[in-house]
Amino acid sequence: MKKNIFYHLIGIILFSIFFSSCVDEKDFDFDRMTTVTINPSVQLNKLVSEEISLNDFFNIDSIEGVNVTLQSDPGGDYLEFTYSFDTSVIPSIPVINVNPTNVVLPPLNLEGTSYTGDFYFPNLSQNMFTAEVDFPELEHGQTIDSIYLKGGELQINVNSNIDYSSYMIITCDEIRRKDNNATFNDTIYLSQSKRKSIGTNTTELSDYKIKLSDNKINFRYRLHISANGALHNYNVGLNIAINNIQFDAAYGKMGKFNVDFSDNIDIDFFKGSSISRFFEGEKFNLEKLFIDFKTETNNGIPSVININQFGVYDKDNVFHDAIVNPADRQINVNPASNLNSIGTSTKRVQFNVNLLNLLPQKLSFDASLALNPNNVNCFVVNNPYVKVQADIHIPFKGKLNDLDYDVEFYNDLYEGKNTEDNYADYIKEATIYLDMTNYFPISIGAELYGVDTNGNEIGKILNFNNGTDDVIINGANVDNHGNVISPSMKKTTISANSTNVSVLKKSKKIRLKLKLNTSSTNDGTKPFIRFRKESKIIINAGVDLKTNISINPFKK
Amino acid sequence: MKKIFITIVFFISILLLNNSIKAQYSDITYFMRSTPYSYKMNPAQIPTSSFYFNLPFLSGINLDFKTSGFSYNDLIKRRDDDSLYFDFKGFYNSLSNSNYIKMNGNFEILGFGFNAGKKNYISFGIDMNFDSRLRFSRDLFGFLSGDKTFSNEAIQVSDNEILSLNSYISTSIGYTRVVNSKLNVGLRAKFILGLANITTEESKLQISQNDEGLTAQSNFLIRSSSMIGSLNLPGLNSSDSIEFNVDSDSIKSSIMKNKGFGIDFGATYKLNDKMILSLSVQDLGFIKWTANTTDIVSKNPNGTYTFTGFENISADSSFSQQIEQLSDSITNALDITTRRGEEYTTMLPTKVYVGYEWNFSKKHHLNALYKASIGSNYFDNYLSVFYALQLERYLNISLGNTFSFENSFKNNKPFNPSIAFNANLLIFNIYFGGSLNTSYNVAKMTGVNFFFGINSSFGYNNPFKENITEEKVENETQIPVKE
Repeated sequence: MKKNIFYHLIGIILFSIFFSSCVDEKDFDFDRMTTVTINPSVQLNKLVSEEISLNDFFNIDSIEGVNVTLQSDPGGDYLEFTYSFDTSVIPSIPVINVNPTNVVLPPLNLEGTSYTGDFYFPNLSQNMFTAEVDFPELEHGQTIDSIYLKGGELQINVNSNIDYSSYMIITCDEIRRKDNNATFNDTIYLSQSKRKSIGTNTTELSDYKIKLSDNKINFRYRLHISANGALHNYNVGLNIAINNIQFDAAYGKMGKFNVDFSDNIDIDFFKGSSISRFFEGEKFNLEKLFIDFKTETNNGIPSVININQFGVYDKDNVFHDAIVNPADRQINVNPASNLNSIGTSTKRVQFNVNLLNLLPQKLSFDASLALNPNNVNCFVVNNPYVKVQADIHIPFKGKLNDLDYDVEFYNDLYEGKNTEDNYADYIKEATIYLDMTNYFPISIGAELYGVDTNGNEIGKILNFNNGTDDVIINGANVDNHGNVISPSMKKTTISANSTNVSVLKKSKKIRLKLKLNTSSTNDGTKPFIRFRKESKIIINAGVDLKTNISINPFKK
Repeated sequence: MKKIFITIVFFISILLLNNSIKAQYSDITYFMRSTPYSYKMNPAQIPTSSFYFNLPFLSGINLDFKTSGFSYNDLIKRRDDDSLYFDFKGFYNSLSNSNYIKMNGNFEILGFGFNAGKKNYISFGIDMNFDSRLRFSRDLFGFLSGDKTFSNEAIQVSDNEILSLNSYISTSIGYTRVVNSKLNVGLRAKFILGLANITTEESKLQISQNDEGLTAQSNFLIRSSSMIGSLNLPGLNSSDSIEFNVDSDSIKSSIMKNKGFGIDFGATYKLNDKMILSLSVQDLGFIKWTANTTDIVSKNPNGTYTFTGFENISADSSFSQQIEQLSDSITNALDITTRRGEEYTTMLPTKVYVGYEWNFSKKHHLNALYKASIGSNYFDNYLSVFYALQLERYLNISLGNTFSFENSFKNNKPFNPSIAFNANLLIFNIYFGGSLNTSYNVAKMTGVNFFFGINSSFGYNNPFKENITEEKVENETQIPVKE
C-alpha cells in the first residue's frame, strides 16, 4: 500500500511539473521589448553596369551646327568636327540706258518730177544709208563688247511728208537674234495722209543680242516710195531709241572695283556644349585647325578676296586674329567660264589652333572682294553673286594634360527621406568595387564627393585606393599615331569609412570628379590621340552594403 | 527493488534531459488501451472496454503544434534585467535547412465499438482531421542577421514546400479478429471526404549571384481544392484584389467530390504472459481532390530576372526611376496568378507502428514504440520508451520519452517527454495528456501536444490476462475478461 502511495505521489508531482511550471510571464512581457539593430548585408556584384561612350560624354551627334565626320589620313582614322558658315557678295551690275537718236535723212528734192513705180532712196544701186547710235559709257570704266539681252525695246519712228504709200527698210548687223544670229531687219510702213506720213515699229529685244562696234550701233535703212505721178520735195526723219535694256550677260571690260563685306557670327558650339569644357584652360590641345574657304560665283569676272581681318572674340570680347600666314589672306575667286556655269575655288587656310582654348564666342571677319583686278575682258551676269563658304575643320586629334571633368548624378537612394537621421539609420558600411575596362586613350583619376541640396561639396564619399592613388584606370594603349591598340583594365576596391558614409547619407547628389590624361606611347611620347565615337569605358560597379535596421514591433 | 530502480532511472532520465528534449507526440497513448487513440493507431489492439461510445466532440480532441526545432526563446530572448529583444542571429543559428511550423488536429465526432462474439470486435467512427505545415527558409533570417549575403551562396527565399494544408472527415469501420491466444489482427476501412487541401508541388524562389549579376528565379505550382469556393489571385501587378469566391450553390454539389479511401491494419502477438509485440499501418490511403481545384502558378514558370546593374545613369535619370523599372521587371518575371486546376490526388500521411509491451510487474509496464511517419517528401522515425502505471481499469499514468529521427535520420531530436492520464469512473472514461518539446518552459518549447477526451465504456479486457478457457472451448472468445 505504501508503494502504491509512493507511485501515485510521483505521478501527481510529475503531472504538476509538466503542466504548471511551464510559463514565465516575463518571457512574454512585450512591454519590456527593446529595440535591436540588425545589420543585413547586401553584396551586389553588379550594382552599376555602364558603358560610357565618347558620345555620352560630349553628346557629339547633337551639337547644333556642327557636322561630325570620320576622316582618315595615313596615320589612321579620326573624327573631325566641321563648323560652316557662308556669306554672299552681290556685285552691282551696269545700268545701261541708250539715249534716243534722231537721224535726218538727206532731203529728197523731187519737185517737178514725175515717176510711176517703185522709187528707192537711196537707189538700189547704192548702199543703204547708215545711222549710228552711240552706246553709253558705263561706270568704273566698263566697256561692253556685247550684251545678251533679256529685255528692252527698240523703237524706230519714221516721219515724212511723202504723199505716196511708202515704207522704210531698216537693218542692223550689231543687233542679231540670239537663236540664229540673224541680222535685225525691220520694215516700217508709213501711214499716208495729206502730205504727211508716219510709221513706228517697236521690237522686243529679249531675243536679241547686241555686239557693239566701237561702242556704237549702226542702223542701215532705205526708203521705198510707190510713186504714181508727180513727185515733190520730201523730208524724211528717223528716230531710233533703245529703252529699258535688260541683259543676261554683258561682255567686255567690266572695269575693276571693290566690294567690302564683313560679319560677326556667334559660335554656339563653344557656348553651351559640354565639349567646350575640354578646351578651357589649355589642358586640351588639338593638333591643328584649318578653314576651307570655298568660293562660288556665276559671274565671269575674275576676282580676289582680300581678308583684312579674320578671327575670334573670346569671352572677354577681345579679338584674336586667326590667320597665321599672311599669304593666306588672299583668296582667288575663279570666275564662271561661261554663261550658266559656276566658277568655284577652294583654299585651305591654317588657323591658330590655340584660339580654341580661348573658347571663342564670336567669329568675325572683314574682307574686300576685288572684282576684275587686272581689268581683263570678262562678263557680268544680270544677277551676279560671289558666295564665300568657310568650313572650320577641327580634327579631333588632341592631347589632354590633367584635364578635370566633373559629372553629377542624383543620390536619391534616400528619396523621400529628407532628414539626416533617416539616412543614417540604414547604412552602416559601404564598399564599392570597380571593375573598369578602358577603351579611351585617357587615364582617369577620380574623386567622389557628396553634394548637398545647395550644390556644395560636403566631403568625400569614397577614398580611391585608400586615398593614396586617385588614378583608377590608365588610358588605353596607343601607337605613335594616337590610335588605340588595346584597352586597359583595372579593378579597384573602394571602401568608405564611417565619415564617408555619413557624407553619402547626407548627399543629395554625387559628384564624380575625373582627372583625365591622354595616353603615352611605350617610349613615353604623348601623341595626338585620335578620338573615335566608339571609344568607350566599361564600368562595372559592385557594392557591399551593411545596413542598420532597428526593429521593435511592440514599440508604442 | 528492481522495479523501483527501473522507475527511478526512468524518471531521472527525463528530469535531467528536459532542457534539450525536442518534439512531442501523442504516441504515448498507443499503449493506453482504455483510450480511443490506442485502437486508432492499431486496429488489432482491442480496446479494454467491451463496449465504448465516443461522445460527439468530447471524446477526442487532439491538438499538436510543432516547430522544426526552434523555440520562442530562440527568436526573442530575455536579458538579466528582464527586458526582451529579438535575436535574429541566434534564431538563424537555431534553424536547420528545413524549417517549418505545423499544426495538426483530430476531433472525434462520433464513435462506438463493441465485442461481437468472443473473437471479434467491431467499431465505427467519424472524425475530423486537419494538418497544416508552413515551411520557411533559414536564409531569410540569415540575411536579416547579416550572416547571409547574396554573395556567398544562393539564398532560398522559399524552398519546395512552402505550404501544405489538409482537412478531411473520415468515416471508418473497424474489425478486429482474435486469431488465437497469441495473435490478434485488425483492419479499419476509412471513407474520406476532403474539405480543403493545399498541396505545394513547387514553390521555388531563389536569389543567386554570379558574374552576370543578381538573379532571381521562381517557380510556383501550388494546388488547392476547397469544398466551398476557389481563390482568385489576379497577379501582383493587377489592380484587382485577391478574392476567395464562395459559391453557396456549388457547396452542395462539391461536398461529395473530394473522395478518398484509406485503411488501417495491424496485428498483435503475445510473446508470453508479460510481453506483447504489435505492428500496425495507419492511414494508408489517398484523397482525390476535384472540387473547386485551383492552381496558384507562376505566370512565367521558372521565370528568371537578372539584375545586371544600373545602366545609363546620368543627371537625367535617377536611381529611384531605375529601381521602379527594376521592380516592374522583377514582378513581370516572377509574378504569380491562379488558374483553374485539374483534379489531383494526395496520399494520407501514413504511419507504421511497431510496439512492444512488457508488463514487468503486476501494475507496471515498460513499453517501447517505433513509429515511421511517411509522407511525400519526408520519412521520419520515432523511437519511444514509456513507463505506465496501470491500476486495472481504474487508472493509467504513463510517462515516457520519444527519440525522433526526422527526414531519414538526418535530423535527430533525442528526447521528447510525454505524459498521459486515464481514469475510469464507472461508465465514464476520462483521458488527457500531452507532451512538451525541449523544455517545460513554454518559451523554450519547440512544440506541444495536448489531448483530451471523455467517453463511455463498459467492461474491462486485460490484454495480458491468459484466457484459460481457450483450449477447452473452441468457439469462446479470446478476448481476456476482466479480472
